[in-house]
Amino acid sequence: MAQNSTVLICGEQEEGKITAVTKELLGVGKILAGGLNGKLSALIIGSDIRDSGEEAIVYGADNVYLVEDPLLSQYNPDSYTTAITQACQQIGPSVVLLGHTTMGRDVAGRVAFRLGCFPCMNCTNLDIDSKSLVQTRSVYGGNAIAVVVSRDSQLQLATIKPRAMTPLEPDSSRKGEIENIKVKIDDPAIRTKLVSTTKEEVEGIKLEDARVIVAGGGGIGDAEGFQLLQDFARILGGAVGTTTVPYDEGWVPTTSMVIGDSGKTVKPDLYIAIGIRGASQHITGCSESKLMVAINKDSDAGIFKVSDLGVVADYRKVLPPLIERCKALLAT
Amino acid sequence: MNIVVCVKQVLDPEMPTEKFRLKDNQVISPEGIPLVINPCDAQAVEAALRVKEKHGGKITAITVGTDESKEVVRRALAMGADEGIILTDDAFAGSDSLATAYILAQAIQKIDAVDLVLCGREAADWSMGIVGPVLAERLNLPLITLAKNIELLDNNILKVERIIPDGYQVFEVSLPAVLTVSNEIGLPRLPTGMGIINAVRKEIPVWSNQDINTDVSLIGANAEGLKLLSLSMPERERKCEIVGGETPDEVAGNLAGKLRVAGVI
Amino acid sequence: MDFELNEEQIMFQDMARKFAEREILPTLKENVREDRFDRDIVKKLASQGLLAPHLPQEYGGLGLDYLTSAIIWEQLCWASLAITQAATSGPIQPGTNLLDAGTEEQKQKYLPPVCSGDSMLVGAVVEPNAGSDSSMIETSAVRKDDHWVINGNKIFITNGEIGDVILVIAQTDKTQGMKGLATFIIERGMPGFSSVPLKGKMGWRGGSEGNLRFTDVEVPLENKVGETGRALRNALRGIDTARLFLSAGCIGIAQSCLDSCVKYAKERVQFGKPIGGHQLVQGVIADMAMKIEAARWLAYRVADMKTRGIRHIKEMSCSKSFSAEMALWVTSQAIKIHGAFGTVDDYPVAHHYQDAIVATILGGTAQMHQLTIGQQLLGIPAFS
Ligand SMILES: Cc1cc2nc3c(=O)[nH]c(=O)nc-3n(C[C@H](O)[C@H](O)[C@H](O)COP(=O)(O)OP(=O)(O)OC[C@H]3O[C@@H](n4cnc5c(N)ncnc54)[C@H](O)[C@@H]3O)c2cc1C
Ligand SMILES: Cc1cc2nc3c(=O)[nH]c(=O)nc-3n(C[C@H](O)[C@H](O)[C@H](O)COP(=O)(O)OP(=O)(O)OC[C@H]3O[C@@H](n4cnc5c(N)ncnc54)[C@H](O)[C@@H]3O)c2cc1C
Ligand SMILES: Cc1cc2nc3c(=O)[nH]c(=O)nc-3n(C[C@H](O)[C@H](O)[C@H](O)COP(=O)(O)OP(=O)(O)OC[C@H]3O[C@@H](n4cnc5c(N)ncnc54)[C@H](O)[C@@H]3O)c2cc1C
Repeated sequence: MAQNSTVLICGEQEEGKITAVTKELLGVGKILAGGLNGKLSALIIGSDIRDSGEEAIVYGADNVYLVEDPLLSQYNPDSYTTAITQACQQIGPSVVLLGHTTMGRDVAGRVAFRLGCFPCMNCTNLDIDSKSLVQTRSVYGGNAIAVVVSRDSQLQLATIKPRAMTPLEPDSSRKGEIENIKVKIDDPAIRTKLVSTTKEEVEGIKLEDARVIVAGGGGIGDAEGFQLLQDFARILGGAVGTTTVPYDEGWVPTTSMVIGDSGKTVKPDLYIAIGIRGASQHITGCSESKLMVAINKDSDAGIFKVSDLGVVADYRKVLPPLIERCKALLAT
Repeated sequence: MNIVVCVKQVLDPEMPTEKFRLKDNQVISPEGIPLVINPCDAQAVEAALRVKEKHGGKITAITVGTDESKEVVRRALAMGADEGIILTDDAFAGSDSLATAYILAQAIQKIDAVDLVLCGREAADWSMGIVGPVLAERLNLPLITLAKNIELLDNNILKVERIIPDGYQVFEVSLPAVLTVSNEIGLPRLPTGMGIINAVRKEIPVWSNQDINTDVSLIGANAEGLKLLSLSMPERERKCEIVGGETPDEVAGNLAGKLRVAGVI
Repeated sequence: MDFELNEEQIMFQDMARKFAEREILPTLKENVREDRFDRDIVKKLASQGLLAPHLPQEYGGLGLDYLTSAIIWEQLCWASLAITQAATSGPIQPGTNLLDAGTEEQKQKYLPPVCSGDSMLVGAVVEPNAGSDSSMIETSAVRKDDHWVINGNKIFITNGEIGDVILVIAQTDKTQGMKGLATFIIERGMPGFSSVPLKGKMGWRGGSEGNLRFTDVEVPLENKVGETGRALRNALRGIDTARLFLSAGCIGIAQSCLDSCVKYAKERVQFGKPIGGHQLVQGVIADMAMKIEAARWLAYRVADMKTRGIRHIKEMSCSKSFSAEMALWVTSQAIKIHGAFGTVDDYPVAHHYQDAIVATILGGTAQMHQLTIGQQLLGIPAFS
């Protein structure tokens, strides 16, 4: 594989629009390409994807490679792994970046293995230091931050944590070439079949977009408790989040509300953690909230160490009056 | 069904944050807190047991580690796994995820007619989540990651529900295959009394590199793909102002007031 | 001397505790409030392998040593002593009695279903006029041609209201005193046998007791267990096991109270600081830990002696009595540390206290154990 100083991002699109993480990939990719004196290329896979190619340029790509194939119209781990691997082999980048998404987590390790490099997953920061990719990531469930560098700087592959990096401002004056490349996917290489996709959408504002998040944990105690949190979130115009415990206990129906290491990363203006102990696996997903508020009956709970305001109390006693007080304030 | 489950021993991820300490870019094992089976790996064992309960078969728990790692294999045996294997050798020490996957693949190839290989979604320490995918590559088997439910259909086809951020996907794959199991599969069962008794008395074979013939240039600390520049603890501490009051209502009023002043409501 | 638990004991300790958290705690409050024993727990304990850890595997137990078995009990009781005792008492006293004195047919017939939780076994000794003093047993057994006829009452009998198989100690010949006592198996459903639940208990709520009445119950000859005159002797090893487990259970409830106090003393703020910051509160918590630690190592020591077959009459009495009195003290202090909150069932301390007081009575009262220890030391029996 001929190596050049290209930074290649593997973008993702939904219904012709590039996803948020793709914009973040372009944002960080631009900085890395600068550090390498190279260019930023975007790879987009699917069918009917030309518009998203153009959008990628608006968000910073110097050029775009499209892989269009009916076999790729729908995500499939086997065909996408093959397509991305072959595209990389043809393009010969020195850095390949993917989002740490449904697709990225699935294919990055395999693509890296096929390309003979070491993948670094779920990076929160990337940098170039004398041609090497310096990768920062959270380890030990958010208890520590590791900075690592690839030993062999030939080709480096990483996935980035969604919402950890900043996209560029869109600029429609940016120009770039869009090129189709061909890959060869054998039918027998596709060994897994996607049968269906079920969305468990939570009604109301999406967690990722919410400016206010009311999060509940093991201390909530039952499903009714979460009803109270829903009421509170509705009044504040926010969304409800959880730790992993309420799902395990069956108080909430889906894991899509989980915040943290294995769930979502959020950065709202106000984060109210109720009955949450403050395990690092949780805090890692919300520690960048502007104002952190904790309500916990244990004055020793770790959550207070990472909060700006705290109430030491049984939430069942303070939450009802708090809802009333907030309602009253919001009415004025 | 011949199922292999890869289990790793990790620092207890549920230990209190304040017990977590670093020194010279290394984690210091806190005193009095035993290492545990990686939580997702216990869930992978649970997933294997559910398949076995319905369809019969044999479960082998396998780990790359030190002599101490026999405890995680014992844990799997106590839950109901039938066999265990410990892979340990000086040459394996310091192996990264790719090398670990290679070692596991060499060992799994020595086990007869494996139908299903289960890994955890990720190890709770370095959380790369790539041992499973690379293992699939090494074994040249299909892979489905982040499984939250698995069901064996006729004709050796496995139906897998895979977690996505806002729901799940259903995949079908014919066996043999590799899966990584996510925590949504549910609480792993407790070991039974008989399970513990059998597990403690069972001889667990220990395989060294001689048994699995890996190319030593691809494993161990020298083959590491990443070099650690630094390991540090994140600065997350904030100065917490405790909001008080004589009655719950007064506390609530004080807090609401402060939220108003901060401009967030 | 090795004071470390082995790998097996650690695994059982961990598993029993998790079982208690998952299966006993969630419904505890309701069960205690309504004083209701939920029989499902017996099945669950059985399938987990925690119902009869000390009985041999050939009859459905696990064949574990007494230390491991006591550790299991300690962890289960951390959630509830009353529920653990009600659920597992069959395999303990009457189960061991049957094992020691029963014929092979009796053991094969009765023990496996008890160990699997399908059948509940009950041991009935105590009567209105025979408490600590078993020589006063008045329930009579009269031999007819091909059967025995039993008449009498038993009171305060664990699972007396719901048990399926009852091991009854009865008098075959009043003139013989202890030498006339014999043990019989009575099955629920035999004509003339009836029971009523024990109600209005101040503690041990969530457990299960009943009073039994036998009116001309005809019992087949093959239902006699062991020889006449050896009934109490045959029951001794089971009683001894029950005492060990009670001792361990008292440590479990005391530990639960200590755990709760440590947490609460950090949460509850009075006079400007968490109450744990007040020296007088710390002093009490330290004393709790001291006593629990002492009781625990004594109990573990006795368990080990029992497993090794070393004579331990004195040590067992020391352990049972010390643990129970320790638990009573610790649990009552725990309520005080929790203040008014300690008197309601949002915290575990109140129900543990209510169980602790009862635990000083069953398995032998403090005085009975003092007398036993005294006799062992002095060689002078002072019971009467
Ligand atoms: C690999 C891995 C990944 C993980 N990923 C995540 C993740 O993404 N997100 C996540 O959240 N967790 C994650 N976890 C789990 C994490 O380690 C913790 O177990 C979890 O966050 C604890 O949740 P909690 O604080 O809600 O519950 P608990 O530990 O049950 O704490 C409950 C808290 O509520 C308080 N409380 C109780 N009752 C009341 C009351 N009435 N009023 C007020 N306060 C009360 C208690 O004092 C306590 O502090 C992960 C774990 C592993 C091993
Ligand atoms: C620069 C660097 C420094 C490191 N330093 C240390 C260190 O000081 N101490 C340390 O303990 N680790 C260290 N590691 C981590 C260690 O290399 C990895 O933990 C290990 O290779 C497994 O990879 P993973 O954690 O990424 O596993 P993942 O890919 O996240 O694991 C996924 C699944 O693979 C299976 N699996 C993973 N490992 C094993 C195993 N050993 N046996 C059986 N199955 C397994 C399990 O099913 C697991 O759930 C370091 C890693 C890097 C990159
Ligand atoms: C929850 C529970 C479950 C039970 N389950 C069973 C069961 O399953 N089967 C069964 O047979 N029984 C059972 N019992 C009964 C139990 O064994 C007796 O309560 C116990 O043996 C004490 O007898 P008693 O209550 O008649 O007290 P008594 O013997 O009447 O004693 C009353 C008081 O007098 C003291 N005393 C008595 N004699 C002396 C003496 N010589 N010197 C000094 N002081 C003395 C005692 O220490 C005590 O303080 C149970 C009891 C309870 C509370």
